[in-house]
Amino acid sequence: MKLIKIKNAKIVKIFIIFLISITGLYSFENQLFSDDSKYNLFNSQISLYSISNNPALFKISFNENLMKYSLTGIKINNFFHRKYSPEKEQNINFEVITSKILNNNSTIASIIKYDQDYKLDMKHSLEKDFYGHYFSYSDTTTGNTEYSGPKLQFLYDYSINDKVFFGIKGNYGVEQGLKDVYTQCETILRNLDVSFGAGLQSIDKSTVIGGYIRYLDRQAKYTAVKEFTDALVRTYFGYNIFRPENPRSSNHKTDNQKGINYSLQFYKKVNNLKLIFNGNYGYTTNNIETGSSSRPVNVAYWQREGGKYSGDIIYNINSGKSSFQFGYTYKKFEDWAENPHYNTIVITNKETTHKFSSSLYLLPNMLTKFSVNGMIEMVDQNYNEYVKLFEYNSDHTNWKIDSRFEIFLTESLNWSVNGAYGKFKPHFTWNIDYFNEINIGSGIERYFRFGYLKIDGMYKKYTPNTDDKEINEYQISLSLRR
Amino acid sequence: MNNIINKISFRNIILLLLGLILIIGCLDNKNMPSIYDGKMDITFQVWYDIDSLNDEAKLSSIPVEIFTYAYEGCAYSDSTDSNGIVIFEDIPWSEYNVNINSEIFVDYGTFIDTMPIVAAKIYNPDSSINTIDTVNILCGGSEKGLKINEIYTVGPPNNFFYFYDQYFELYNSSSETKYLDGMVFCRMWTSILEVTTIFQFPGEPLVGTEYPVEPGEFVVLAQDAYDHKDLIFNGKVSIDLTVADWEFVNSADYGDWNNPDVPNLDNIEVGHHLDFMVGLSADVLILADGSDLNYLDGLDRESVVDGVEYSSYSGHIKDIESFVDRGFGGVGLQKYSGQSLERKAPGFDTDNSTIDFEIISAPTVGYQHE
Repeated sequence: MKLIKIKNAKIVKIFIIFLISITGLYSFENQLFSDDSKYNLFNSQISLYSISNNPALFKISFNENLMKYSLTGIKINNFFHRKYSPEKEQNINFEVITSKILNNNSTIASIIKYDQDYKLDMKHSLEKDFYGHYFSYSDTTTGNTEYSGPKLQFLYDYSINDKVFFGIKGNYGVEQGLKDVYTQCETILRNLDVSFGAGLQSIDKSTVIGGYIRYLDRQAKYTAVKEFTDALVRTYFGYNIFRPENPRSSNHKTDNQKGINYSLQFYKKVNNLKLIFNGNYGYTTNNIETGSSSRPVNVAYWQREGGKYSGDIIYNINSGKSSFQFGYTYKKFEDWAENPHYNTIVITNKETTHKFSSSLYLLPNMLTKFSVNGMIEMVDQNYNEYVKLFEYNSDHTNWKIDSRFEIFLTESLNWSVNGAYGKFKPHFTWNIDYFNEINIGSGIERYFRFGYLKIDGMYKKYTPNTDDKEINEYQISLSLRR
Repeated sequence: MNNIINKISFRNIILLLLGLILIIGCLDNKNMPSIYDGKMDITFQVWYDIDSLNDEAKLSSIPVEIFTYAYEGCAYSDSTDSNGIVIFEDIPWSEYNVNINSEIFVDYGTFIDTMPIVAAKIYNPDSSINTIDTVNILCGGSEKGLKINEIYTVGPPNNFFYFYDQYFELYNSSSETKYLDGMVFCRMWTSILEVTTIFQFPGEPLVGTEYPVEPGEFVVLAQDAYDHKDLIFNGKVSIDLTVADWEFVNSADYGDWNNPDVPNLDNIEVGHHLDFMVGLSADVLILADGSDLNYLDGLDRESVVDGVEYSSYSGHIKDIESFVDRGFGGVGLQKYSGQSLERKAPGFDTDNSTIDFEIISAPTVGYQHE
């Protein structure tokens, strides 16, 4: 009986960690739509909060106190990489996750994370992710850049009664980067992300509707100190044409992003069947200025607008301990960028994704847990640059299967193993047809009087179809939760 | 903590929501423009006013080059048709430098001769996709006389901030001999009324005839007239300025290099103890006839023989008065690159350095680049 109680508590806590983690910090890039983490992690069932990110639905999705500390190290060898990407990457991060029920009405949760990121042998790029933006900054030198900074998240959920819920969630992150050779580019990124949500739940708790508004604000500042002639600063307009910045002692770039995101959710439970619908619509705008700090020139305006709509069916077996899940997500967004000086379009991009996924989550007994998942997505992209005509069209399919197994070796010792295999076509700047992805991982967790101590390890490998070189990623994590 | 949280009432939450809506209300997204870049057409009509024929002639088969600083590699060239028209199609939307540097055949009745022609202008597009503009050709520049022909300021490629091989080249584009006697060469601040550095040629201003410059002759003024190439860089980069015609020497600076084989321009500013050094990527230079030596109140307008403003930054706000120079040259000059700034043709002067000068990859001491 004691064992069952411990394991039930354990399942709930893992669930909480999962919920907070996947919808946690938006990193230093405020994405318009969060990643589909729910299809990549299979150690738990999906929930309203994990799908929607609506802070008002946090209390509905779980109701447990938690504290977790984790230290993670990641090393990536990019033997195969793009022109402006680093050859090696290292990351060390420390994270503290807490969730506390204050009383019958109030729940708070917070995440504090500190990241130390190293991009080694970074060729020409002054950006952390050169290909993540259309108007990236580069120079002509190769160096190492170190990024570091904290990210904070705070969530507060308040229920008037068991029917009406309100929630507010705030993300705030600051990151500083410095390149170790001239131009010795200094980067300061700051982001703010605030969500305010509301939810209504029926008396029998079988129906929930919710909605939230999310405001995004991100500022990126780059200061590149040019010393010699071999450190020429450039601003790219897309990926094929650039503007040489005027030579001066220091070049500045600012990229200010603002955005808004509206979301609605509907949840219905009928016997063992759960239905979750979620819709998001939003846009972001970026204003990019380059030049000297005293006389900046507005070089580009970029806007992204789109929606993401998903429907998930969860069929619970065995009193909810096992389940079958099926999901469909439709995502569409359009980008356009203009030269603000002449009011002309310089870049357009359209992407549409249809994603189908299904998961089987089994708890055959109280000692073992098993899940398997499959995902297939159809992606359609049309990208155009107009300054120097460039067009890219792609209609391709990505897929991935994933499995995870957990077992209690003793009453206090749990061992897990997971693996995945998939094939996906990367961004066209990789100039390959597809990557094969393999990842395997294993972890062991032991219960001590002071909490659960866990060591996790993971290895990922991405192999391009055209090259013998590959990308290897090693990750090790030590965590303690109470 | 619990007490604080409990004080967050429903009313406060509603107030927070209203605040958020206000913030969101401040956001504004734009409508997508209707014009695509890379689709601009420009038509240039090339004209030449031939004084000797007292007629305007359209020019055919004249090569016209345009380029922009806005994007790397966006340079285009084409030739005029029989009506003197050249069309550039589907080019990026940007400001363009338009250049013509060629020669034409002129029929004088009894004989046919070739005549060098030069033209330059800045084309700035308006909102229409198809625009027509004219380019007026000049013969060797409109104004004749003693000109500042080349400015080498940025220093050779090096990593120890060496720029002491700066020099300036004068050119006599007139058909008569000019004299340097008593002339002054000045570095200016933002106005003709503010002299930063002033050095003077020997001799008596206006009337002296000891230091002639023949028509078509180049004169090189070196900051330090020694072989920078061998002395500093072991023969690899920089230039030999022992061939200079003049050397700036500040007699108040006992450490200043003085080549005994090269005559000197000397500093006349009281209390100035430095050599004639100018900004690597931005500055204003004036050659004046020396009739006004009271530098404290600036230079008289009438004494200015030629003036050039340069800046590597395209967004530079002009300093010197427009009667000296209506523009500025040197956009794109890189410090410590060995680049130089020279007139497009010897003495080519429209009083607008934006179109008169071009950046050349290496200095040309005492001669004109190809």
